[in-house]
Amino acid sequence: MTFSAPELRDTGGLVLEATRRHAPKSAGTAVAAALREGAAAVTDNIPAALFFLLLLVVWQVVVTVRHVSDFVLPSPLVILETTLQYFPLLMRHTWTTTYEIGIGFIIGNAIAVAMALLIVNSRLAEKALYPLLIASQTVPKVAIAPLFIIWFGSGVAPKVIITAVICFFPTVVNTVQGLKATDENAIDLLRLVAASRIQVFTKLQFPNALPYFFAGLKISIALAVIGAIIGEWVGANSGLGYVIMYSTQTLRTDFMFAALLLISVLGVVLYLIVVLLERLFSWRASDRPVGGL
Amino acid sequence: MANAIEVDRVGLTYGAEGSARRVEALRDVGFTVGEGQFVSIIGPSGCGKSTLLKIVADLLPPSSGRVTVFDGDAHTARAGRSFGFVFQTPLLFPWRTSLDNVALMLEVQGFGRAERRERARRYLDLVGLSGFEAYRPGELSGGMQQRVSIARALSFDPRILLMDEPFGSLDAITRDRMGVELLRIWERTRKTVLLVTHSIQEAVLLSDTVISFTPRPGRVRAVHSIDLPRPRTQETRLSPGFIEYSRILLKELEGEPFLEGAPSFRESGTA
Repeated sequence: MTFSAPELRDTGGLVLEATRRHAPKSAGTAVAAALREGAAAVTDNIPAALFFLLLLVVWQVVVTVRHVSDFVLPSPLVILETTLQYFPLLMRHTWTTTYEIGIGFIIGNAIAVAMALLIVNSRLAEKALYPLLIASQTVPKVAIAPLFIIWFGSGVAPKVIITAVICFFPTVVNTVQGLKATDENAIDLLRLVAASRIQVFTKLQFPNALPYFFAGLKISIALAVIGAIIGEWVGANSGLGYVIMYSTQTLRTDFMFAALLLISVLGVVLYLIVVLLERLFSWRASDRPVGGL
Repeated sequence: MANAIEVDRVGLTYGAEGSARRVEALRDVGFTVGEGQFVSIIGPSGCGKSTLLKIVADLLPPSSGRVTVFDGDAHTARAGRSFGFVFQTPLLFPWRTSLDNVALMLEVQGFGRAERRERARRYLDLVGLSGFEAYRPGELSGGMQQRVSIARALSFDPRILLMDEPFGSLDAITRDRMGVELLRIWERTRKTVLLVTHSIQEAVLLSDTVISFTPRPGRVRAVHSIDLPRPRTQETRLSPGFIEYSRILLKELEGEPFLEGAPSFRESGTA
């Protein structure tokens, strides 16, 4: 077979056509990439950090100059001091809360995924479940939290359940949306090689839904933290929510702020873990080429 | 020459009988495609060309008529993996690299990892994408994505290649280049190709036979044999024969209103 000159030129022109914007990626470099992005995120957030520092300084100055009592508003330095002084004790409570969040988050999201699969695969389930699911979100969970204490006692169980109930919703909605977002033509493509239903799911539907699922998880983990704290407010004898409740009642405002600080740190760390999981296990919606799948 | 595809009085109507939204997309469509031939279907938007391609591939059942593929029905042909399909959009899976996208069809068929990769590499090379195995679709240009999609369609060595306006979303220059590239690939593989296109130039340059369709409901208006010497190149576009065929097809497609009752659509129509 011979090719005429224009054809060869055409093939040569391909290199120009290439967009060598990114180096090829491999699974092994995913962690490195995540770390690099983390470093970039730190740089991006320098203005926010500086502004936060400024607020702390203003806070410190106002409290010192105006001689504000510690039980009204402790200064940042006092809060730091309390945190360090009672660090082992606070860590024990942090561990309780982390444990409740972790178990509640896992149970809630396992149920969420199961429910999403059911809704996507059965018209009847969708019609029976989905409207109720959405309506159930208008029920204020804080208000029914005491009920869980009555039903499940004062141990870890009611906190885990409240956490699960609060955090499962965004995952259900997002996963359902993701599983339904499968391109019909892509399914046809797989039908050309006589793919089974399971293959269509594992090769196409499931990976396609991952970015949606992780978007849900990110909201879910934030809600899980709130869920555990609410659970501890209603009735507990350990955990950061309990520390907040107890210290407000005994006017140890510095202690309350220390607990708040740890909750914030915990929330951010858990969120970052979810982000890391996403980097490791999912592609990102921004990787989608222009013009869809 | 044996017939690869035989379309016999195929009709397709959407919507329930008596419904206001009932649309007749195809009526009494009949033609044949010989084995190893390159046949194009050309016609205005909405004439059911793409639908027809799906019917041929057994992805959509016709309302009437039948499709015969290599003396069997279309369903048997699909079960026997006879159809490679290139869609209008590249339809690449963004979470897979070029290589894994091409290997997808082999993966579904249960080929071993080594063979999958070897074959995928070979077909990427065929479409001129050696060196881009590890790239993801988002990192490739539109033309390159469609090349990957062609490699994927060919990867399992189907006997027939169906293409639904594969270069429709590319810019004019890339599109012309891809046409010639497709010719080169076709000359090396000698698949039976059925191509749906909007472009008269593309149809004339590539095809042995061009079938023109009427507007909705789509019917075969005329069948033209394109007797231009092969191999054809970019230069073929300048030959008197090419221009004459283009002129005939242009006249033919202009002859009819683009959509009945909507003459204003004509400006944005074909050619």
